[in-house]
Amino acid sequence: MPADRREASGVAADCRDLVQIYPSDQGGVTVLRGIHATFPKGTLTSIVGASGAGKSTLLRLLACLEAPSAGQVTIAGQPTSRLTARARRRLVARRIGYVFQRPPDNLIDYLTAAAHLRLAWQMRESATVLDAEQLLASVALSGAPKKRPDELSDGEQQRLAVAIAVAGDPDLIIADEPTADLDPAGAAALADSIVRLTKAGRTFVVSSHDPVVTDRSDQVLVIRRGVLAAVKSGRGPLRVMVDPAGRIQLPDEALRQLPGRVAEVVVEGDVITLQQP
Amino acid sequence: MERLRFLRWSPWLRAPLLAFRSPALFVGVGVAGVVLGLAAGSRPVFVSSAASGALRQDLAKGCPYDVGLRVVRQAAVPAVGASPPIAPASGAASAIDLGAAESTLVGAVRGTPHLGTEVTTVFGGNAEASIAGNTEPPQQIALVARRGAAQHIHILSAVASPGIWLPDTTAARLHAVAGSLLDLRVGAAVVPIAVHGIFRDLLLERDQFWCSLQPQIEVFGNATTPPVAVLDQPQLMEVLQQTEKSSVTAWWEFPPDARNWTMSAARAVQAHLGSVSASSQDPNSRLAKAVGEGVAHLDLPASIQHAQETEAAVASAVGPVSLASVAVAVLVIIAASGTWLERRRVELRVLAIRGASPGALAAKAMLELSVPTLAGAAAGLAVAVTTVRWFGPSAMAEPRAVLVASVSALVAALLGLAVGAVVVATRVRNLNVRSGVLGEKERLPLWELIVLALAAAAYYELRTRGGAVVSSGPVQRVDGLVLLFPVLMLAGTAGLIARVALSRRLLSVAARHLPTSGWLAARRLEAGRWRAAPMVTATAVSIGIVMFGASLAASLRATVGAKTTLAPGAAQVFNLQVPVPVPPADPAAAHSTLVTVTAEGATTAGHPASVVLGVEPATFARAAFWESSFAGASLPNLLRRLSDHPDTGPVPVIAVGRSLPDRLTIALPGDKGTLFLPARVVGRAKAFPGQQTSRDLLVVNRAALTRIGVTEAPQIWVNSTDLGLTGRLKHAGVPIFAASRASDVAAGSALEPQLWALDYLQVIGLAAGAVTLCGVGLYFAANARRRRLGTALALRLGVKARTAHQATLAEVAALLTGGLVVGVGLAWLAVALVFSRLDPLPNSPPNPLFRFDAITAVWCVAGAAVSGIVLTAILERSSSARPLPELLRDAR
Repeated sequence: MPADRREASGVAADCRDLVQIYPSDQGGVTVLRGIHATFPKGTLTSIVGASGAGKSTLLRLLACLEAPSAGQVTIAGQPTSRLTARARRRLVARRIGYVFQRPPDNLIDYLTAAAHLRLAWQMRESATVLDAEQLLASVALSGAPKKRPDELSDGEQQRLAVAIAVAGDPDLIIADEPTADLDPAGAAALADSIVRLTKAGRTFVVSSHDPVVTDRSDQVLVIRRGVLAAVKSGRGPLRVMVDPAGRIQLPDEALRQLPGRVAEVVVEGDVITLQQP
Repeated sequence: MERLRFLRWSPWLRAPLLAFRSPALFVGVGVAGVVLGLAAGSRPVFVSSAASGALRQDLAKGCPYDVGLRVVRQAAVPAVGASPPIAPASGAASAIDLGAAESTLVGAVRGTPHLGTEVTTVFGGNAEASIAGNTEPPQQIALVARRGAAQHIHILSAVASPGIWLPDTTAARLHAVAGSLLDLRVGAAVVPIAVHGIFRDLLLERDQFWCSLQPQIEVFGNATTPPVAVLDQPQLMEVLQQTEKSSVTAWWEFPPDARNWTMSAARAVQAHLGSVSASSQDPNSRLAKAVGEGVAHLDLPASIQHAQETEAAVASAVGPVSLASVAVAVLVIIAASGTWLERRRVELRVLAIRGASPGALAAKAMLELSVPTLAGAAAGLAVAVTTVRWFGPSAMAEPRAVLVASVSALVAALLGLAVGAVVVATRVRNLNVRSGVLGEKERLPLWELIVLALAAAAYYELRTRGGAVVSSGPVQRVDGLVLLFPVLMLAGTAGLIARVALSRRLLSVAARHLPTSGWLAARRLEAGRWRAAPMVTATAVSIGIVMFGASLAASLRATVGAKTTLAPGAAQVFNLQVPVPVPPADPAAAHSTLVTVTAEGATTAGHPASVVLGVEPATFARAAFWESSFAGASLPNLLRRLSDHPDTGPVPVIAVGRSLPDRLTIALPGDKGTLFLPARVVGRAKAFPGQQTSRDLLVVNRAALTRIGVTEAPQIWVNSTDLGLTGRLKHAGVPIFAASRASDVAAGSALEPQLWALDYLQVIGLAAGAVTLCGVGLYFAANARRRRLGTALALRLGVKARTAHQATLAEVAALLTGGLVVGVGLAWLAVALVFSRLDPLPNSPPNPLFRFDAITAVWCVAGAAVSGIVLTAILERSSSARPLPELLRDAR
């Protein structure tokens, strides 16, 4: 989709043919092998995959913390791959929010919740007016504006981190395994906050294995060995990516139906069926 | 200003106060600031103090009445009944009213700051004193009126009625007492006068009040000096009016009061008095017309010039040390910046991911470290000023010097902060936002080799330049390389040793052979070796600098003491006309000997001229200066070999010099021509008391010289600094025609610039030691969490608490002891390499002496031991009694 049409159509960010290769003693390690994805505005996208699949690398590229080896990341219609370090920093400051996995890693220990929101809003140079109370209320922290991080539980800290990431209306909020360090109740509360904010028009991209997040996502991207293997949109069917050689990666639940790793392919018109032999 | 908008954000606004939340960091950075302030600020204050000290010492050595303004006039004695002034007879001195002249001069110098009390002296010439009807022969006395004299004589007896103060030596000869009536004969006139009191003869006892009259009181040679008798001025005039004496010599002396002088004060006094002096000699000036014709003396400019040269000499020596110290303190700031980065890692990652630039984060570091750095620099400046005031060459430093010191300390602090900010900005660029790792380089570059190369270059320069003491006029300055070389050598060598000693392989090998506590300590050191190595290096360097400064100063003092005493041979030497020993009743007799010196013309066939010293073996050792390095044998042993002097055959001699054969013939001057004395060498020495230059010296039994009739140049040598000895010997009739003191020669060698520079080095070393201690504290503080967790895990795994305590003690001891041993050892080596270059009197034997200051070494050991015990106690207290789960959670 062209950039201008992406902006007009409500695409917060997208990535095209993303390739990321890291140098190593043995040559290079290819972590991403041509990722193609779109993140519409006001949606929650979950990125799932096994450890080492490339989820965190994809998040860092989306957050413009690194430049891709090839391909393009576009944030609110602005291509980012050729930005200078200074321009990249400004883009990150103004348009992207980030939430780390560990709650304390998102917070400055001597600032109150309200001070955190104000700092984020200042650093984002947002034109909107900051309504700290409303923002805290949206993450169920109404009574915490004057509390410091050590006075909050892990779940409350992470919800505050989300509020900070959202303060100043960035185009994209990225969270790396935000519920991994939380108990089930905390994780559920955080997921509720993210969904609330999504419905209010924020765009989230979350790396997570937690069903409490993935089940509520507007789309789920499945990454396997650096490739986008499948996309599931809402309650719609799982769309599996076919690579140029015609190969697909079936989800685990489908593989379980094929114990011998052999499937019959039946093509009838425009219907293709995979079945057990 | 848009780029600086981050300064309005909360973390930056609060940054200056955030340092207080981390006491260890605050203290560490603060101490680095103290060293910055001390190193940068001490130099101008110390140099100014050295100038003031040199001025004060110069004036204290001499006579203040000689240094200050002295106006000398000849005044006519008014005739009886005539009101002064009267027109002088042709050829007579100008008639001046002494009182009017004095008040005019006092008025002229009024307003001169820092001036002592004016003294007027009138010399009435010599008179013969006798007591009418007394058979004792008359005694010559010198009539002197000097204002304030009565407060500066040792009064033995007095009566109320006015009269003359008579010296006790004269009173004894006349059998006069206080109240006796004397007849004073001046020329043909005889004037009766009562004796007001008897006082101790000034030849035997006097204070500095009389120093300007020394030539009148103490004269050597054939001339005799009548003892001084004291009158007040009206009495003196009254006596002289009854005689034919027509004129008197008057002195008006304006001595300086140099107790609180700085150079600017001295210059102000010089300007005032110089103007008065010039005016008094300008025949057209009102002052000269008032006080008449005559001369004026002012020696103050010479003292000021000497002080200026001393100031420059000290400045050139301490400059490199000051710069090196500032560099060291900046390195500590850099290390503190690294610690700050570690402590603020989470916050940095949060701010970086929100778009804060490396520059903004560096500015935050500067703001946060600014309070402890600037506070430390201010404290360091205060320490510098106070230390110099208490322990420096003088308590007085120019106000301008303190201002320059303040600016220097501020600039150094800002420089340190700027360097720290650059370090932060550089490392933050390598921040891995995902992991929060700062991309720390684990390996330190091999800076030690660079520093050692610089040290080698400095040492080569020292060796090829000749001596490290350069004379520029009367003041000697130390080559700054003498101070810089050991600092570089210590830093480079200690760094290499620490790097090797704390290498993984060596520690692993050592750990295998150690008990559990040692094993734990070795493992901890290995894990933090890149932090531990600088700690050991810093400890070694600071201790080494202190030891080097103290030992080199001790070597210098010993060398000068030996050289200045070797040449005269003893503390005091009196040249005599005939050989007369010190009277047995005098306390100095037990430390004296008679010596004969044949200065020139003593030759041996085929060899250069030697000086021949005739000694009395029985008494020589008790008077002469001796240093064990002068010869392989002891002095008594050598002298015993001289005692056996046969009437025939060669006489035994001690040879001092390389070119003298074992058998020789000495040619000596005799009353009736040249005398030849066959001799055999029974002992050799590298140096010997009385050795004036590097010429050969032959030491022979004085009796052998007397036996053959050698013309003697006798001397009394005394191992005593009693200044009253000269007077007592003269009073006892010993025919002294010259006297010299080793202390006078030592004072003339102008050691102060070198010793003060070495004192400065020690102060810097002590400051470096304080920084090092805090650095060691920071080292442990940075590892505190890991240490607490490690200790808790070890205890949970079965290690006894006592073993864990011992491991902590072993770790602390390894750091401090390693630094101590390396520092002391390297300091010894540095002194051994350098001391021979520091020869303030290169033309005088012996060669420079080596001294290692053991007392300072003991203090260093004690300081390290106390520091280690205190540090261990603090560490143990902070690591105890927290549950393991809590520690594990904190370590997440």
